[in-house]
Amino acid sequence: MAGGAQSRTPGVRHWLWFFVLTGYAGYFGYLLFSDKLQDLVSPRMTVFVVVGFATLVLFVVVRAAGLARRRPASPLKSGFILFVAPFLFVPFTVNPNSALLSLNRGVLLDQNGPRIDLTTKLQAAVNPFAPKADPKPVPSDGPIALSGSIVLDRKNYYAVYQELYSNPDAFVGRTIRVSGFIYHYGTGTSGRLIVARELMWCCAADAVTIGFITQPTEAALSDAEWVAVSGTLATTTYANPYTHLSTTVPLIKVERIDPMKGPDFAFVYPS
Amino acid sequence: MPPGGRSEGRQRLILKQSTAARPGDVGAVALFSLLAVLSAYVLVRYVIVPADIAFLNRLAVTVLAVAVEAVPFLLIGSVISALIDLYVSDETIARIMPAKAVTGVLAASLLGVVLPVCDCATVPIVRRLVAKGVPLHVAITFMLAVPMINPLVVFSTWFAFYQYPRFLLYRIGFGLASAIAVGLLLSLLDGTRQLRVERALEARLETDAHHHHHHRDHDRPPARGFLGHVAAVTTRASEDFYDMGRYFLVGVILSSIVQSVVPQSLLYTIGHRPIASLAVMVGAAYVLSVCSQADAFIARTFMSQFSPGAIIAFLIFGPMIDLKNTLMLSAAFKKRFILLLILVIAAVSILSGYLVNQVPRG
Repeated sequence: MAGGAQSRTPGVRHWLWFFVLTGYAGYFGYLLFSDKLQDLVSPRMTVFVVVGFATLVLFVVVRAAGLARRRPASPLKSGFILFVAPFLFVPFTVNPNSALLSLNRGVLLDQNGPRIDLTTKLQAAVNPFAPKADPKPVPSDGPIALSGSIVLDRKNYYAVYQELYSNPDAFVGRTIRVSGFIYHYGTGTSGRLIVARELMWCCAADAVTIGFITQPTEAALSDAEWVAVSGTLATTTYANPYTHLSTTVPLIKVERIDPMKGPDFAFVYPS
Repeated sequence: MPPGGRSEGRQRLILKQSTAARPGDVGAVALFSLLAVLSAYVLVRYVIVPADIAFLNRLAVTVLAVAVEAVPFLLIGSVISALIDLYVSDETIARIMPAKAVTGVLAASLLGVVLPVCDCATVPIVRRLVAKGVPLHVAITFMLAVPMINPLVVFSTWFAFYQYPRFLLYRIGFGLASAIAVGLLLSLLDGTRQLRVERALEARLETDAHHHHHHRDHDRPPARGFLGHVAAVTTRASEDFYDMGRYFLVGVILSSIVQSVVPQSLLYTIGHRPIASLAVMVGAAYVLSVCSQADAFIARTFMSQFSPGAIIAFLIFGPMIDLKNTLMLSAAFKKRFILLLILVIAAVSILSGYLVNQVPRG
């Protein structure tokens, strides 16, 4: 006979694993039935989270039914502690600030072009991988209306961002309103600030910081502070400090900045 | 050899394995110790001393985001592994999988087309395939190819690089070729049936089956009816989830700490160097790789700083092996084999990146 002595009650190990599975199922259920799931993963991952939740519930039900059976005594394994570890991080995600994710990554101001390291100065840059097509006419069925103010919200942010960066000259003079968090770089008259957003592809861990360069403003704003900016579109050039190449990107000539208490929405997602 | 000689030798191997400390348990304790030390350093350096709650917030979001995203795939892989274990016989596996090295590797590399799972799901499946008698190099090829060519990854790569369709072709073509090359190299370098890791795995699994047989007599009734089968599959999948999940979670926490502490700007300083950038991106993929779907978008952000070859090296290496997968593999394979696997994959990935850089642009 293998194992230790027979017992009429399940060992600690079996109860622990039951509670671990219940904890994971409970956390997945909490994410699915609250508005917190999209603070961690992209909406298109929801179906997989549902599958995971259903599987965990099945595990819990079968494990609960098995608790009534007699089992030989078995030693407690250290692996259970590892399954508890992620729950230690949950309290620190109660009010997540997506702006903090970008502090270690820098900002990508052009999907086709260079990425600005926030610790370095602006220099001219050219992206060798950018399409070489001339500025093309604005398509009538694009994400941006042919006239009127351009307003970026949670649903259209990435589509409009792509359109503006693909063809920045076509939108010069148009009014725009966009919200995001603040990043400063440079000082004095060459100082600029970026109104940024975290773009989530699959989950918060792979989020990319994107946004728009704005013309200097004297407003006293701190990094990672949330604001709503209104202004007029123009263009500017900026450089990659590593490749020393330049590209043309949209610029917002700021007419008004409204501080916000917090993010209206934490992440944007590819459409 | 006396009639019972061979079985006696095998029994000694089994007994030796059953009385020795199991690699998985010792490894889990060692990893937990490493994690505890690293966590203590991070806690003191970034939280207690500077009261950098922002860093802790960032780390927590990263850990939980990866865990919530990847655990479903780990569960799917565990269920598939359990189904294979309970309902696919060794004879069936032998009929499906060609025995010869080249045809077996080619067949395994194409299975990814029909399996929409990420790399987290393949490790438990591979472990089960090896236990069922699939040659190690064939199973490893399957593990390397599936995250590269499954439909979801193809779509995400196309989405991320839709302006540069050649990157999708590069990833699929060179990724598939790399997986096949690694599989063929393993069959040449290591006569899979002589791998000590394989014998130990067989012995351990046979020992487990020995225990499970006794447990089944007194603890787990034979499956009867649909509910009985569901219970049997679920129980086995739950065990696989435990075996793989503990290493996966350590890998998630470790890679999240590295991502949160090390600024990515360090990568950019050597991104323009032709050879060094290939090695840098392979190293970055090992630590930064989240899942094979997300890798496409992470690689996209490096495009202006790194050559196309370096980007492809990142896209190939990450799905095949990364920190999380290394820890999960350590539950089933010996360290020497894992190290060999990592080096071979790195070499093939860097070579693929170098070849991509030789392709004329335009």
